[in-house]
Amino acid sequence: MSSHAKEAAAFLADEERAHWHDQALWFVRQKRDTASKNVPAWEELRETAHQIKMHTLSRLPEYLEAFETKASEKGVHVHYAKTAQDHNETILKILNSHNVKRVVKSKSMLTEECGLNHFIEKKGIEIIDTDLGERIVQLLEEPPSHIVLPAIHRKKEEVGELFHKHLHTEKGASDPTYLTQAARKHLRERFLAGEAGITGVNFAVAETGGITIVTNEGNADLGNSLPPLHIASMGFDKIIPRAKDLAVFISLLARSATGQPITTYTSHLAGPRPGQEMHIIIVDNGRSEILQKEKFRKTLCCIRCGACLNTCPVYRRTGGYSYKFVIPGPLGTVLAPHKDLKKHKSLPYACTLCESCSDVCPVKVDLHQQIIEWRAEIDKQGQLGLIKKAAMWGTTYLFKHPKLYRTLGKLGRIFLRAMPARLLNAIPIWGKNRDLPEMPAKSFSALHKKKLKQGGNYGK
Amino acid sequence: MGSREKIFADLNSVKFDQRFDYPTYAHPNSSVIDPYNSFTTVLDSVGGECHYVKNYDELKAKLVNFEVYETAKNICSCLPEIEKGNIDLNLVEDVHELHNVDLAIASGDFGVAENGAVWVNGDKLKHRGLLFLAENLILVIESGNIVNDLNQAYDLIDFENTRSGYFISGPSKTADIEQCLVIGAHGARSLIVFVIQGDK
Amino acid sequence: MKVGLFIPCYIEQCYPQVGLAMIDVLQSLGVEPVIPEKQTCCGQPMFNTGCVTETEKLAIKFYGDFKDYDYIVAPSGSCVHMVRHGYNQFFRSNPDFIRMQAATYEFCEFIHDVLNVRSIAGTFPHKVGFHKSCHGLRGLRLEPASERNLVEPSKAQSLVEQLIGIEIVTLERSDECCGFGGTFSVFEKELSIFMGQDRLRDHQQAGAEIITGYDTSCLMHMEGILKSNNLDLKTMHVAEILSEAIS
Repeated sequence: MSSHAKEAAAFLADEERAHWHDQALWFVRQKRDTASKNVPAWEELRETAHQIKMHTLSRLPEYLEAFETKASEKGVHVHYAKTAQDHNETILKILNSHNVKRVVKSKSMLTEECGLNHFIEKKGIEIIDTDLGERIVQLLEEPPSHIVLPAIHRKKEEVGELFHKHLHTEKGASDPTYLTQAARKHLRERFLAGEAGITGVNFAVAETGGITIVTNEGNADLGNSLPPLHIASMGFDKIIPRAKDLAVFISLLARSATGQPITTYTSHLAGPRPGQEMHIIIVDNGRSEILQKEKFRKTLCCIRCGACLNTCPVYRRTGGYSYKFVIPGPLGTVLAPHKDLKKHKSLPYACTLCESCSDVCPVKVDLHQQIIEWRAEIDKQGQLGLIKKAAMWGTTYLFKHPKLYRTLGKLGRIFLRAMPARLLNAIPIWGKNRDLPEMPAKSFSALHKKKLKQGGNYGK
Repeated sequence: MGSREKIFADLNSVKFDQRFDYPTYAHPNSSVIDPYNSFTTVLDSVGGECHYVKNYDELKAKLVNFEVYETAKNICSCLPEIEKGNIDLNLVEDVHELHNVDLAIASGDFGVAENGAVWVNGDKLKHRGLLFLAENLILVIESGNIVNDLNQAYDLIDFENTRSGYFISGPSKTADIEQCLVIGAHGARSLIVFVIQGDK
Repeated sequence: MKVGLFIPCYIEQCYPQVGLAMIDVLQSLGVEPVIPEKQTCCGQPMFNTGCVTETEKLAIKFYGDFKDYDYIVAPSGSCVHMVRHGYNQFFRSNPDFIRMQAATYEFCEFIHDVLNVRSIAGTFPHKVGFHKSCHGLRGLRLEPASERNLVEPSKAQSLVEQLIGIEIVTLERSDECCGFGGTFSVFEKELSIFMGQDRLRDHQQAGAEIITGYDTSCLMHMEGILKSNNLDLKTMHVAEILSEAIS
C-alpha cells in the first residue's frame, strides 16, 4: 500500500474526526466562494495575477536586482541564501551579532521549509511562534497541518488542555475566546521581551524595495515594531514588479485564503524604523530548480493562500500529516517530488484529478496538469512499481487487440456472473463496503449487433 | 561562489520559450455604488464600527459617549484636534513604554469601500507600534475620502516616500481555534473609524 | 453528418444499456449513429497512471477507428476530456488528428452544442440527484462549477430538468468529487469509498430516489457503495433517463 494510502486509511479510521476535519475545511472553501462572488471581475483578476507573476518569473534577475538596490537604498541589509542551511546560518549570524537570545516569529512557511526553529533553538536561542495556530502546534511539538490554518486538525478541547498545561488556563476550559485571550496575554509578554522579530513576506515590490506582510492577528506588526531588529525571510518568487500590482494580489489573497475581503492588517514596509536594523533574506532552496522545469514552473506563481488545500476532497479527508511534507494538499503534491521523487511518489496518486484546485487557485497555477505530469515523470524514472506497470502493459495490449479484448470480456463476465455475490464482494481489490457491478450477460457490442440483425429502425 | 552569485547564475541560465509580457490591465472596478454605505457595511461585518461626522466638534461630542473612551485610563491621541489624553507620543522614548495604552487615536488618510480598510501612514507616528499595542484603536479619516476599491486606493499612495503604511480593516482577530472567530487577537481589540465629511 | 459513437470500456462490459439508451435518444433527435467495430479504449487509465507511451499507442488506435467521422460522441465526460485535452501532446503536426479531437463530444454536450437542442420532451416523475462528474464539469465545462465566478450554461442537467414530473434535488455540495478517480478507486480504496459514502449521504438527505450524471464510472462506484450498504437509491445515466422519458 502506498504511503499516502496508508496514512489516509489511518486518518479515516476515526470516521467522526475525519468528517469533522472535512467539514471545517469545506466551511472555509464556502467562505472563499462567497467572497469571490462579491468581486464581479474575479476571473479576470486571476488571469491578471497569473500574467504578472509569469512575467516577473521570466525576468527574475532583473527584478531581483532592482529590489535589492531599492531596499538597500532604504537602509535594508539584503542577503541571499541558496539553501535552507544558508538561510538558517545567515539568520543565526545576524542574531549572534546582536547577542539576541529571544526571538518572536510570525507566520512563514519558508522558515518551516528551512527548519529554522529547530536550528535556532539548538543554538540556545528562544524562538516563539506568535501566530496563534503556530503557537499551538509549537507547544504541541508538531508541525503545522495547513499552510494558513496551522492547527485546523485540533479541537478546542485539545487546545484547552494544552493551554492549561502551558499557560495555566482553567482545567477543562475550551471556549475559544477565553483561550485566545490567555494566548494574547502570554504572547504580549514575549513581544515586549523580544530582541528580534522574524517575519515572512507576502509580496516584495521591486519598484520600491518594500515588502508587504498580511495578518489578521497583528503579530507580524508587533514583531517588527517592537524589537530593534527585524529579519524578513522570503523566497525569490515573492517579487512583483510594482506597488500598484498589490491591488491585484491583495484583492485575491484573503478572499482565497479565508473568505475575507482583506486581512485586518496589510503592512507595507520599506526600510527599518528609526533606531532599528532591518534585514531581508532572499531564499532559493530549490526554487531555481523548479524554474528550470518548464512544465512545473507555474508553481512559482503561488501566493500561499491555501485555497487548493481547502477545496481538495482528499486533503480535507486525510489531513496535512498524510502528505509527509512541509506543505500538504495539492500544492505540496506538486512541490514535494522535486525534493525527493521516490519518497513522495504516492502523492500525485493521492488525487482523483477533480481539478477543483486549479479552479480556485488565485494565480491560475495548473495544479492538476502538474499532478498528471508528475505521474508521467514517475513512470519515466521507473518508479511506477511492477504491479501498475504490468497492469498497464497488459491492458494496453488488450485494448490494441479488439477481438481478444471482447473474448476476454465475455469470459470475464461469465466467470463473474457465475461467482456467488458474497464471495465476489469479499475480493479486496474493489473494497469492503462497495459491491462490484452486476455483470450483464451480453456486452454492448453483442447487444448492438443483435439489434442490428433484428433490423427495423435500429442503428442503420 | 556565494549564495548571491549561485542564485543569479542559476536564474540567468533559465530559458523561457515564450515571452511573458507585463499585462496591460484596466483593473476592473468593484461593484461598489455607494462607497460610504459599503464602507460602513463591510467594516461592520469585520467587527469594526464607522461613524460619519461633520467636523471635529461633532466627533469630540460623540467620543465621550464611547465605552472605550470613557473607560480608558491611558489614552494616546496623535491628532492635535483631539485632546491628547495622558500620553504624548512625541515624549515617549521607547515604544515598549506604550504597552499599557488603553486607547490610541490616530489619523487615517482614506478608506476603502470594498473591504472596510483604512490607510494609515505609519511615518506620521513616532512609534508605529502604538497602532498594534493599544487595546483599542480609533482612526479618524479627516479627508472624508472613501474610495471604491484597492485599485483606486493604491493610486493614492506615494510609496516612494512611505516607509511604513498599513491598511487596517477592523480589530485584530483569529479563527485558529476550531475555526471559531474571536475578535481581539494580538492587536487592537476594537476599531472605531470616524469619517469627517464636512458640511455635506 | 456522420456520427460515430465511442463506447467506453466499462459501458461495453458492464453497462451496455447506457449505450443502447444513448442510441435511442440520438435517433429520436434525427441522428443515426454508427458504432465503429474495432474501438476499445481511449487510453485514459494509462494516461492517468503516467504511462505516456502506452497512451500514445491507444491514441493512434482511437484516431484510426474514428477519423472518418464528422462527430464522435461518447457517454462519458472523462473519455472525451481525454481525447480533447489529454491527447494534446500527440500529433500536433497532424491537422486531421486535431480536427478529430475537436469533433469529439460528450453526449449531452453534443445535443446542446451541435444539435442545438435545449430540452427534450418527456415524462420522468422522480426525484433525481444530479452528480456533476469532475472531468465533464471542469474539463469540458458541461456545467458551471460552484467555485467559479462566471455565468456559464448547463449542458447536461438542463436536458433533464424540464422533463415532466422530474424534481432535481438540491444537494449540500453541488459538485464535490465522488471519489472514483479511475485507479484511485483501487489504490486509495478506503478514501475512495469514504468519499462515495459522503456523496450518497448528500443525495439521501436531499431526498433523491435516483442519482444521475453523465459519467457511468462515477455512477458505478456510487452504485457499488449503495448496494453494499443497502441504501434506497439507484443510479441511471442521463441517457437512460432521457430514453425512458421519451418512450
